[in-house]
Amino acid sequence: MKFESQLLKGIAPVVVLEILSRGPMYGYELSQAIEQRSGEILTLGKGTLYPLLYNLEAKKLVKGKWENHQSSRKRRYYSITGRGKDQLAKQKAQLKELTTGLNLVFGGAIAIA
Amino acid sequence: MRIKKLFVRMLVAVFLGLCAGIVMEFSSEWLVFPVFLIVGVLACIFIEIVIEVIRGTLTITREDLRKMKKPVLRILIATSIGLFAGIVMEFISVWATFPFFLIVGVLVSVTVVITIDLVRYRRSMRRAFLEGKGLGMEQLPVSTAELIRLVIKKMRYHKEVRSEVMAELAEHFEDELKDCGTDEEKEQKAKELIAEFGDAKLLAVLLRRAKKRCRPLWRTVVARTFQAVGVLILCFVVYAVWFSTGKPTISVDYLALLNQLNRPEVHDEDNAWPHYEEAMALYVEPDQRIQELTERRRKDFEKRLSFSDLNKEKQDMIRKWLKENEANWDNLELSQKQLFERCFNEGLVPLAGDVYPGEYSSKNYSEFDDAVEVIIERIEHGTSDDMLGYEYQMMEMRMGYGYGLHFGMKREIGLDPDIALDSEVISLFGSYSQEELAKIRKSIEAGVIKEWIDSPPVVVKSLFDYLLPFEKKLIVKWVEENEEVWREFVAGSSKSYCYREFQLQDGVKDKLLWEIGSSYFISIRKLTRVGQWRSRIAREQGRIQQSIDDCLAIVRAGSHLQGRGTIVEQLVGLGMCRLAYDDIFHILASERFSADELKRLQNQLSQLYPQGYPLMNMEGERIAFMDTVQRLFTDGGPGGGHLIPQKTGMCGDIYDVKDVAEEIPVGKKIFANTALTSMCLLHARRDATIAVGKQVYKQAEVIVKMSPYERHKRDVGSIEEIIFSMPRYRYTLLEYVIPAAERISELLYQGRALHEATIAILGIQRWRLEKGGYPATLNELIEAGYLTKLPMDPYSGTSLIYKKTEDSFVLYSMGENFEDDGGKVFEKDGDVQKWGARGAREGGDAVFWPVAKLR
Repeated sequence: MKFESQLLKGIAPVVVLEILSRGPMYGYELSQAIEQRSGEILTLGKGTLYPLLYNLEAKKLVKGKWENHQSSRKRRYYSITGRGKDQLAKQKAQLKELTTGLNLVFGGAIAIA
Repeated sequence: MRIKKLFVRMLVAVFLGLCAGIVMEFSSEWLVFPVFLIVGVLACIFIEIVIEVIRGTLTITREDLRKMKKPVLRILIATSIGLFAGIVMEFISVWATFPFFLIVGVLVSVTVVITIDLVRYRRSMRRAFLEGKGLGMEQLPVSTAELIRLVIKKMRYHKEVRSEVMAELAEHFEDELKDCGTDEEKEQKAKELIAEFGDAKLLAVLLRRAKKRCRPLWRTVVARTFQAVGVLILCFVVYAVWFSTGKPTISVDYLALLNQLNRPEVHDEDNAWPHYEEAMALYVEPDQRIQELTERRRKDFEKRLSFSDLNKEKQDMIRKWLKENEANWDNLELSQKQLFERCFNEGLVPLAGDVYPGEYSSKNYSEFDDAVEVIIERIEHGTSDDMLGYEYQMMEMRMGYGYGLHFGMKREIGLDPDIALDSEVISLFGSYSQEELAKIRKSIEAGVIKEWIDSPPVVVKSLFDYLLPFEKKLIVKWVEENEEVWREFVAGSSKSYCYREFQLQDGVKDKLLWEIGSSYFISIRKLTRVGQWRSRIAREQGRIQQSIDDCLAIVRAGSHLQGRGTIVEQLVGLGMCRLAYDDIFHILASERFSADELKRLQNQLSQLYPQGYPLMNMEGERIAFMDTVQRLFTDGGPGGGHLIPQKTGMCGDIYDVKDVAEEIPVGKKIFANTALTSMCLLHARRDATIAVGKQVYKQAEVIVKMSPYERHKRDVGSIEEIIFSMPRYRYTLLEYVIPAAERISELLYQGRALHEATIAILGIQRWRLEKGGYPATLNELIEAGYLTKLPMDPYSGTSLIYKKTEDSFVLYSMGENFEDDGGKVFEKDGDVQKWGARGAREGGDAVFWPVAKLR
């Protein structure tokens, strides 16, 4: 589903941080993981992914590192930092509250794990 | 790669060396030959080589040597071209001592080749980089690779960062396409991915921004600092261009104001100017020789050496020499002797004068006195024939760079072409050989010494007596040619005032007020010289009254210029009066006058300044200053306007800076222009300059009206102190244009003292003639009606000091040391300092009477 870009704008960083909190990934792997774990509902545009990762890296929420891949090729792996974890926890709490509020407004069950 | 990096570092070293050299040239005032530039470059190259050796990067492999072949070959070719060009330039410049062009030629060509190589290298590196070899771009479809290249190219960031991004994007696309079986599927998928990626340029911008945020803080600070400096430099350049291209606005006609200020309220018929103008138009310019003669001042005439001036030992030595050499003279043929004696009577000796003949060929001969001194020196030192002053050698001189100049000077015999005797001398001796002339020379030397010993001392009454007979004739002729000129001048001097309207010359639009009248002042000085020499000639011929009258005419004309107009004008007038008084004093000291004649003269001088002796008027100067400001500053803008660099050259015209600037080499000129602009940038703005200028002129007005004694007593601050107390470089213009008020005041009061002393001396002489003897005090003169007021001493606050002596009197001022030294003068290097020596103990007094005899 194609969502409004403004709607996704605030969510994308927290989604990336959540995925990376489960383990380091490289860019392609990350974009696949987002698709899979969101049941193909969320897709991060290729043109958005890398700028987002670099911005998170600039904010020191994630850390990028070149490492040798299984196939002996070097890939840049991104992992969440401590600061990133704190930010993730904070933003998840905010989203939870937001969901609660939206539920009350729409009168439906919008849950966030 | 290593070698190319080495080339780059070498180029950087050359650049740094050039910069260091330029700084050193600047500090050493930009020598003609750029020593520091070359030394700087060579030194930096040497240092770079040392560094490379230390770092061990000069371990060149065979592969490196193979790669080096082509660049080295190119450098060798460039060096050869540079050498060739340098040789051509050296040849054109007549092969200077130091091979400047050779070195420059080689350096320039090597630098050009290295620069070209560098540019090509960078291009190839950029191409290789964008190809992304080794970054996984080879496996990607062409469209995808193109997209990534475009993104990376548009990203415009550090190469290392872009390499990483390129690698990441290449990986991503590779992963996306790994499941595609065929090339068509890959292409299809690639197109979809490209569409998903969106606008490449936008992506590049986003990536660049994101990566910039990743850089460390210090790098951000450095980058921002450079940007800020760049912006500042750009702003400065724009400001400097705006600053330099400013134009003044001439809104006030200060010339008309000055003319209005100077215009007296009397009838035009009583204006001296039309007569002076006519005199200037009729004036006959002297030739160079007469000009030089007429411009000589008293101190330019040296004391004539007489035999009796020498001590006994020297006299005996000369007599002994003459005894040994007199036969050379006696053995001359009669006709030769008579010819030489006629030369001696003209004050000339028919032998070559100065070694280096100049434009003015007066020194093809020896003046008698010069020849005496040279011969005495030869006798004293026992020198051989071919030595000294007017002797010659064939000389070859090398001057400057690559010039060969041959001065060949033959032993000459002859006189000045203006003298009739010259042709006789040359026709008699012109064909003689060098050996024959050498014998004649010895005879002439003996004759000169004999004539000198036997001649009585010359009585010098006036400067006219210093001239040689033929020079006197030339001056008389020139004065006669200007007889009508002088009549006009005298007619003008008898008028009560002189007013001329200053005007710009045809076609001249922009000139400072100070300059407008300068040619007029020069002309009137020339007329003054006519009068001076006319007076001296009259005196020589016994026409004393005419001599005095001519001096009076000069004094009257000088008085016309005093008390109004610019400072220069007033000082010219003062100077004219001083010259005339100087001659008047000498005439009074050596000629006889009747009491009536003295009274008439005294009355004429007393009536010269009916409103009192004119003090300096600064109003004209202030107007000229305001005009200067409006011509040199822009009008408007911050502070009212700024000083315009190009216009400051107008001030240079006054002080001959322009003439000096034309001799400055190009390097210095460029630097001088930069320095000039910097000076103008630092200079205070127009309003502040005017305010300070007014303040300074106000103080100057106070100072010029104070006598030296009053200033000394009250310890009044000088104008210089005021200017130098101001912030440095802020009021440079004022330093140039503000007159030296203290010195002007000094000259003014000295002039007044001279005028009043003359009147007093005339009164004293009248007393002597009518009553016999001399008065005891000057007050007696006033009581007896020979004087109306006491002559004031500018250096004591009271009257000039008068002392009766046994058979005469002394009248003097305390002089610049403000101390009474009893009427003794101060001499420095044989020259009498007229007003003494400032600040010196026993600095001497300014003695008006008795008048020092001409030597």
